[in-house]
Amino acid sequence: MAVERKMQKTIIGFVPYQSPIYALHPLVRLVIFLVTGFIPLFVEIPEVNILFLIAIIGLFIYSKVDLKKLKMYMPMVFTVGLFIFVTYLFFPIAKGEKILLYQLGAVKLYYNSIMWATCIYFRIIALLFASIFYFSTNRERDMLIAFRSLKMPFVATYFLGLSLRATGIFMEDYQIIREAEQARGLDVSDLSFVGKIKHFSMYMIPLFTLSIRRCEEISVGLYSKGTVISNKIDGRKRPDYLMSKNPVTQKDIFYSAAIVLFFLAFCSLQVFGGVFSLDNSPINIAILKLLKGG
Amino acid sequence: MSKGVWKIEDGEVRKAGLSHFVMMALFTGIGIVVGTFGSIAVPLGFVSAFWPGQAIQSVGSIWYGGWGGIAAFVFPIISNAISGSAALPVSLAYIPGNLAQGLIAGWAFRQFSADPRLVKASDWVNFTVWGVIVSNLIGAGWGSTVLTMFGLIAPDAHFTVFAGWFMGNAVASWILGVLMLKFVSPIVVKTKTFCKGYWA
Repeated sequence: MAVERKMQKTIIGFVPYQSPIYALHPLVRLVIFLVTGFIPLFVEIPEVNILFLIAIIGLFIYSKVDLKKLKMYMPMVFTVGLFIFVTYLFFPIAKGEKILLYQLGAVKLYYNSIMWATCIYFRIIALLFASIFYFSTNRERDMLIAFRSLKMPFVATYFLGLSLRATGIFMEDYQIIREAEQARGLDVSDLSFVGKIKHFSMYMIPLFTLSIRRCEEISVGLYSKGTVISNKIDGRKRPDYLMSKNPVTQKDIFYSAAIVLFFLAFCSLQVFGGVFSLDNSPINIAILKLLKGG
Repeated sequence: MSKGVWKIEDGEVRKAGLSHFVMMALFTGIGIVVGTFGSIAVPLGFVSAFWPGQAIQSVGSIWYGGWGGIAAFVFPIISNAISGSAALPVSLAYIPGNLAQGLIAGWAFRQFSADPRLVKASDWVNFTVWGVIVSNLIGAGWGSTVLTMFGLIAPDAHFTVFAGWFMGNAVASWILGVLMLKFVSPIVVKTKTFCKGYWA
């Protein structure tokens, strides 16, 4: 029996074959990415960033993204936490009232420092998942449409498109070289850490040589097709196939404007009212009360 | 001092063209892959213990001048987003540091007429000093400052993060950079995309 494949491989990751999020124009999806990429920076309260994170995971589920694909980011999620907590443990901050929780030799565990580390951790994890969500629901083509909808110069989007395609070519070449090595019996898992680093570096030589050859081929190909990177002929703009197939409608502009307005309103709550400051965190308030015995 | 590979021969015409643009895009693509692998391979929070992407930045500007410099600040934005090692605002704030990391080696090699094939001892010194030490000092200094500004590390940990960042990147970029220059430069300097000047 044929197994239905839910996810499609793109140059930079996996996206679902079918997803309700595709009903939105790539421009709207880019605006969501930009907004969700900034919102956590205005939030100190960990609970709010946890809610934001839950909302993003909800979007993953709604968009039919296979959550198993997120496993590769788990080491990052863990090490980010470890890194933040260790630095805030050994280098406690002066912000807030210093409350000593525990002391082991010269190492002092301060509540204010650990609480601040918690804020930062959830802030950065929320930002990371917002970023991962965008790359899990947008193909390279969608990114180009979105940037061209924002009137980004053709040369810049062409460069971006070519770079992303080059990424795919490079990955394919890398895979071929790796399989050739495995076919000859190389087992990378047996190598030491230093060995792995050296081995990684050694891939570069054949890969670069192939890229140099590809550059010549692509340049000649583009030249022979009459490609002009300014996308203008005699001062006039050439028709854009991608944009002709994906025009921006009034509805898309309305959605994008609404998202931006929501973002501005949200930010102003923090900038002018300090609504999302750590001092307003219910958990922080409760723990402080407990520690001070009040 | 002999200008070596940088000398423009009599009658030689060098103009920036489509092939340079394509090479810049390909180099950005390579940087995306190398940067992403480096960040995912040995992640230490926002600081990867092994980020060979810096070698791509230095070598890129040595081979392709300003084109390599542009690739140097574009590819980390994309590779950071893919690997999840830095959020978009942080990646954008890294731009000046990445640009510096991508331009210093190219400037030094042209200024001091060092050979990208690492033929003489002075070429090795030039790469080690400018392409690795100075570039990474600036990059790590800028990067750790950005992390402090975003509140991602404690202010008192600034120097420790800077030192860890510098050491991790410097070792990785020296190993990969030397390999690339020693073994790939002899091919690159013969291609028409190699830039004797800053743009051609």
